[in-house]
Amino acid sequence: MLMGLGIIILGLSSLFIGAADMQLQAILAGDTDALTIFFVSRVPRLIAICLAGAGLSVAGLVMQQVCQNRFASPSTTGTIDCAMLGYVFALVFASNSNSTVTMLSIFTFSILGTLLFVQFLQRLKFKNVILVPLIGIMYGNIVGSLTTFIAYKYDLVQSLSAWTVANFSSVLRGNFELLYVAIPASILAYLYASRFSAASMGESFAKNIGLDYKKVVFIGVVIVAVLSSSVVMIVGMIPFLGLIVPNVVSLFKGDNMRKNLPFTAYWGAVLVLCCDVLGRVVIFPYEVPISMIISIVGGVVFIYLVMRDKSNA
Amino acid sequence: MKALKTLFTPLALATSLTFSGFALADTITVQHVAGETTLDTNPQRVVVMGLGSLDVLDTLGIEPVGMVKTYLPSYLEKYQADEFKNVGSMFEPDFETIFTLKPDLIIASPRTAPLAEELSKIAPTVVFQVDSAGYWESTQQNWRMIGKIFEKEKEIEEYITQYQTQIDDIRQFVEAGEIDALTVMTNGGNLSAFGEQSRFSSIYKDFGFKEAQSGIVESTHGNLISFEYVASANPSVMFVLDRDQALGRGDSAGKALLDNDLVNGTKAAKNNHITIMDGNAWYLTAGGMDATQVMIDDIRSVLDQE
Repeated sequence: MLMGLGIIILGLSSLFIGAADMQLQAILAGDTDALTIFFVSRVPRLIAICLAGAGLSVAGLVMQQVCQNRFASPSTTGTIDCAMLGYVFALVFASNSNSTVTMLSIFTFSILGTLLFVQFLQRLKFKNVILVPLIGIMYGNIVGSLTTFIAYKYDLVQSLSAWTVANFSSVLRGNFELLYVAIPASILAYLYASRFSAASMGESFAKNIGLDYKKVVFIGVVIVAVLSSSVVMIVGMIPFLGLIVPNVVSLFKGDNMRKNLPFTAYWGAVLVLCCDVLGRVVIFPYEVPISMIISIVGGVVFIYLVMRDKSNA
Repeated sequence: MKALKTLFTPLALATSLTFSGFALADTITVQHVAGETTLDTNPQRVVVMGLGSLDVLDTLGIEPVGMVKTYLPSYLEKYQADEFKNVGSMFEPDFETIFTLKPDLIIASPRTAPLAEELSKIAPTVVFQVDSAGYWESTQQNWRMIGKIFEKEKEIEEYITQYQTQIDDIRQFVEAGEIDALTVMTNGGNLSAFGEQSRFSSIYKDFGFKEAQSGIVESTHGNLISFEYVASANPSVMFVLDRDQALGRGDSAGKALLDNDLVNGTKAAKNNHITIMDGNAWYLTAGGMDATQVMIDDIRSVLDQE
């Protein structure tokens, strides 16, 4: 009940905060300018924020199960860096292509890159809770340096950084609809939740209870790649989100993935919504990119999680 | 060093007088943003680090020995040839190559201005920098500096008068109509705004447009804005710099980005007064003579439709 109220209040504030001056009365009076702004800019932005926030958080949750590590998320397993590489690749080698080609390239790179990492993890004998994200971050940096190299060679560094910085300021009706892919992907994740949980117990355990381990891992990776590459494509890189939201939710709700998934999606949306509204207000009428705000919040929470985990162990 | 130079100046003067069959070289002192530089006029081996200065030298018929070869506009394409040495990137001079070219003048650009002191250890270095406080004002200063160095002051003054007339005409027209404009840059799917204090200040200060939304603060790549901002500013004229296009990537990305209901609802879009500016002239070759003409033509293309 309280949760529903929270998102409604935030959602309303998102709908009525923006560079253009638009009053509730004008909408009710049917003023065309106000209605245009409302339906072309404000509503799509709210939907995009919710989808991106929920999608990335769910992606983080799935990734944590697949990697059997609570610090795994699209940003600590190289998925997002691979998506970036895909973007630069499309930009350089198919310069005048349409967004479908770019999307396919991003998706292909992120899925292959993540699979590679998961394969590598499975061969690793010693899986320390900190070691996995560390290797993931290193892997991400290697992929990232390749991206930077290509971008540098073709003078795309500034375009790349402008594009990477996540913000919802250019979201409008007609350019964000790809994010709806988060809905079927999240439903699929929900349906597979118990299988992911079983897989997270390890390959031999999963096989003992008659699970096609490889298939489950593959489906998990595809879900993660679809969710995070669609967000990277439309919004940009939102750091920490897939990491902190599932962890904070499991702090309060325990580790049952199927039960946690809706909460994870909800809190992901709320967090992104909060940060985006904040980013719109700070230097109004200009905007602070959401990635900047979420990095500050996320960094603090991440450090807290790491410290806390150590004291438990 | 300075004492040494003053000691040698009369000597140099004497030498040049003796060989008066050659081009006469006087020692002059020129002012620029990085300070004062004393050098001999009519330097023969010139290295240029920026496209704006290359444009000016090319117009005056002076061929430098080395230049930065990236993003040469079509009319400077001939400098791609091997007889002209590549002296590094827009931001990073290739010091070794410059040194071996034995230049007697280096013209630094805004992007290499911080390295002017280092460069001046190789040869006298002047900075050709268009100031965002006033494009035309500082461009004239730069042109006059070049004119003084190459003893082409008369030619330069002719060019200045010719451009001044064109700019004045536009300014008069714009000010009479009190036309307001919004200048935006599209970059990697994002939109940012530029105002009176930006690299596109000339639109407001020289050509007389009013800011559609006042108070845009200065920043190299503009202030991040949303399309709502464009809609509420509702400019009569909109100038767009497609940064990706300026650098030769994604030909129509900026145009596609701007084709949406919010932008299409502005006065500028309804009257077809949105101009995609020539990226090379405005963003890379600014300060050049041909580039300035392109800029003037861009502005005029909006007005001709009125």
